[in-house]
Amino acid sequence: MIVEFTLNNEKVKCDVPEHFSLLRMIRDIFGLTGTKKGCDKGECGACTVVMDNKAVTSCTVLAPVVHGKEVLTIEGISKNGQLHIIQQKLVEAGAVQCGFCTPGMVMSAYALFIQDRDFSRDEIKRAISGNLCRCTGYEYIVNGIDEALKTRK
Amino acid sequence: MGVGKSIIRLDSVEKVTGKTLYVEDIKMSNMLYAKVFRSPVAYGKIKNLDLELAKKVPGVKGIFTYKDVPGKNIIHVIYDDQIFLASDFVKYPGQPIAVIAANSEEACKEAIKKIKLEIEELEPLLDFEKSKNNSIKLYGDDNIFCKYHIDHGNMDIINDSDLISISDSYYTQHQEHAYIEPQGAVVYWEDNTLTIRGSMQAPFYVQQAVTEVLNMKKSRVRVIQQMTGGAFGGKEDVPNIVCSQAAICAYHLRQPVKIIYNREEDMQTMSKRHPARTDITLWADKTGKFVAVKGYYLENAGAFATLTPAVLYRGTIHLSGPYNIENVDVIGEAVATNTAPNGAYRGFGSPQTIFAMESIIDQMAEKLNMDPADIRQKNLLKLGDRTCTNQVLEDSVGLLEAFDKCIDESDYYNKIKEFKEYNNVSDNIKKGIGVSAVYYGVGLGDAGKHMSRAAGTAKIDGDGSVTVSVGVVDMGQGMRTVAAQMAAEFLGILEDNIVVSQVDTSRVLDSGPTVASRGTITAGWGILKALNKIKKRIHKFLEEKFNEKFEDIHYKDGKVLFGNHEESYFDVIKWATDKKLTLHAAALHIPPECSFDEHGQGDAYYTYAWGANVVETEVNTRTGEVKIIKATCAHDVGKAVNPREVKGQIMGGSLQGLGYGLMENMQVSSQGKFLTNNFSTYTIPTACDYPEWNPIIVEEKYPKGPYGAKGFAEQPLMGMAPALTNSIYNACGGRIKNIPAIPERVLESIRGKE
Repeated sequence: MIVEFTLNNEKVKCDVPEHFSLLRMIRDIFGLTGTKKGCDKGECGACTVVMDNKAVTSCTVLAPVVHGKEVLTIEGISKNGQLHIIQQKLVEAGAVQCGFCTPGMVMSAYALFIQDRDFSRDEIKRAISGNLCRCTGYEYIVNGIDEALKTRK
Repeated sequence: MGVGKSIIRLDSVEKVTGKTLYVEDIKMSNMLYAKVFRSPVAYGKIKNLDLELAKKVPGVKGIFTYKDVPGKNIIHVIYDDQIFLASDFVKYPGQPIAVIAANSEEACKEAIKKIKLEIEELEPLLDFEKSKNNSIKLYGDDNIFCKYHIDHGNMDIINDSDLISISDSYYTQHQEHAYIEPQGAVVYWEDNTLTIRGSMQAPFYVQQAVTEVLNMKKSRVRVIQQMTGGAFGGKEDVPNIVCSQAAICAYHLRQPVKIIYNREEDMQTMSKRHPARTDITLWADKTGKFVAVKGYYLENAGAFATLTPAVLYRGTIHLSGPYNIENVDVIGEAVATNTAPNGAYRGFGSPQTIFAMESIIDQMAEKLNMDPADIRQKNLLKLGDRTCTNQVLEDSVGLLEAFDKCIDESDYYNKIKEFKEYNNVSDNIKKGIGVSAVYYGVGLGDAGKHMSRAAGTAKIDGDGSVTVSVGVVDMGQGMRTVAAQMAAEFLGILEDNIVVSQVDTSRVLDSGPTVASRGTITAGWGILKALNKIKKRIHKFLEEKFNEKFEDIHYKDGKVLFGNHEESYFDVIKWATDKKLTLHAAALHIPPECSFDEHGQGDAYYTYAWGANVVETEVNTRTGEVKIIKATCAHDVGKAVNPREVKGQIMGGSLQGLGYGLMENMQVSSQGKFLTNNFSTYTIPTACDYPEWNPIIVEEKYPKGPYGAKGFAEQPLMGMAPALTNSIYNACGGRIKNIPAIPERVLESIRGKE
């Protein structure tokens, strides 16, 4: 079926089998491989993207649902080759180890970043509690997100 | 720049922008997909395998069984007992029988449905405590894969009636690695060479395994380690299997083949931490001095031996802990069952025995009316002491410092008092604090000494930029950043001048597997030794150029300093290049020899890391729920090449240990299958579960290590479970002898006390 939507600020249109997930669509049809598949069941959060300003696990969103929506992936948040402040702060905080959870983690943080309010550390932790990381023990990730959110003031 | 600085990881910008290519991100023209047809039963005899209908599924290009294996139908690890594709018997649920290659994953799945397997189901052996000498014979006559005995001192001393003793048994379960990137590989032909790109820790294992399965020349099998999304031991030996599966398809079909496991398949069939029972008796005198320990460690190895002999070696040696105990009698045995083979997981057989020892120490402390920290402090190993293998500790023993810092910084003694007062008045929320001490034998030890080597190469280009390589990989732990820091320090230049090559068996030298916390030390040895050869040539070149003798040449801040000269590093390299000086080199370093005799005595490892943990918890005595409040973890790493990354390893490893102790609960069905084969049933710690951290670095330099560094990154996991359960005991008086400490067990332990 034909699905039209906005992907990383560009209007796109594609013919996609209706059983495809958003994850498979962005990886296999659009070739955007920054979004990772860790479980394909909405349990690990590695495939998190932002859809209509909310963080979603793209593996649990069926392609037809995406019609008319705005989707932002990890490839869509840095501008002119500059890291987004979330990415910059995660790098500086030492929040990246194996990197496989990282794009999803960045997108969950981005969904906070675009909201017009402050977040406590506990709120940050809750917001990324659907993003599993096995490497870091989370502290540096929360530090990085916290730092990035503080720059909005 | 250089060693000791918390520079930003060199791979982090690519990773944080999603540009890093992992195996699943590779796409090639004409690429096929592979899936594995597996045994539906734990134990059975294959009567017939009918592939005819499956082969007719549109898109299927080939289905391969044991009949199609050109070489040995064995995945070699330590023993040659692991079957690659089952021919007659299957020994665990999910054991591979056939590999399907098709032009889509859907076609593979359709073909799997059409395969007709006739199998005679046999009664499986699932209870590892009943495996030894069972009538069901899975390995040899007695089902014992391997056995170790440590016989140190003289156990006759236990007849001394003044000694206090205490005995108990402790159980630990499977632990799943839960790397977020599943197993996978892409295999293709390039330049008449079968080329493998995979997610892995040990490319040289994979090269050997595929060479044997396909009966090829080793040099025609090229293995490239793709950026790896977490491993933790789970990608040590099992990529041999995964890569061989894709390789047999590519070998026959001459097309690129990709295999990616889905999460359930990965958790159902791949290796895990060995479940175990540890029986232990500890003897102490009235002052709390440990006099003797007797242990029996029984590991459930699963269906094949794979890495079990090496895992058992470490677990047996680490049972008696970092304590000066003159009389030690420990037996370790590993037995077969009809479950997926267990293997390497951070800590490698030791978290099981450490849980037992660190628990019984607390029980002994209580019996002697001593504080758990005091009794440990009294018995810790010091410089010059002997380990349970009679190894004299000649250098780099930072245990006491780590322990004291951990106790001080956690404010342990005040909290003991404070929590006691709190608990006296609190109704159902009880606070507790627990401690553990650990040591870690760095490197492969005697069990893996045939692979203990570090081979590096270095090349300096005319512009002064440097390419180095060594056969250990970066699987997320930061090895390449740390290697670049050491090379940069050695040449007195910035890291951005250094490239550390991805491991590719066609151009990087075998340095053994990236396991056993040996990455930093191996990288340092290999690379620095190669660079040093170049430095020696530059030394001679400068003497000739200036017609002077120079005692030493120093490389610092982009300068080369010799005699009264101070020259730019880049100028020196340019002069040398212009004169056609050989600015490349390869070097092999053989680490200090290890030994282990029939009594379990010898230099078991070349050096040791040391650590201590303090964990604070809150226990809800009505529900049995445990909240981990704070963890203070101190580790002697020799030298922290990148302190921030060291702390990252401490927190990450410690959280895996806390998950092991508290919540990671792998359930096995009555038919040997893992019931908890995804992240909603096998729960690992999330951002809401981690405690306040205080990671502490202790640096007691290892003189034989690069810049004093030794390995340690497994150690943070190893002692967390007992520190946690000791803390639970301190809070509520419930002694957990079977981890994880799920609420049901915590409640039972409290009731058991009443």
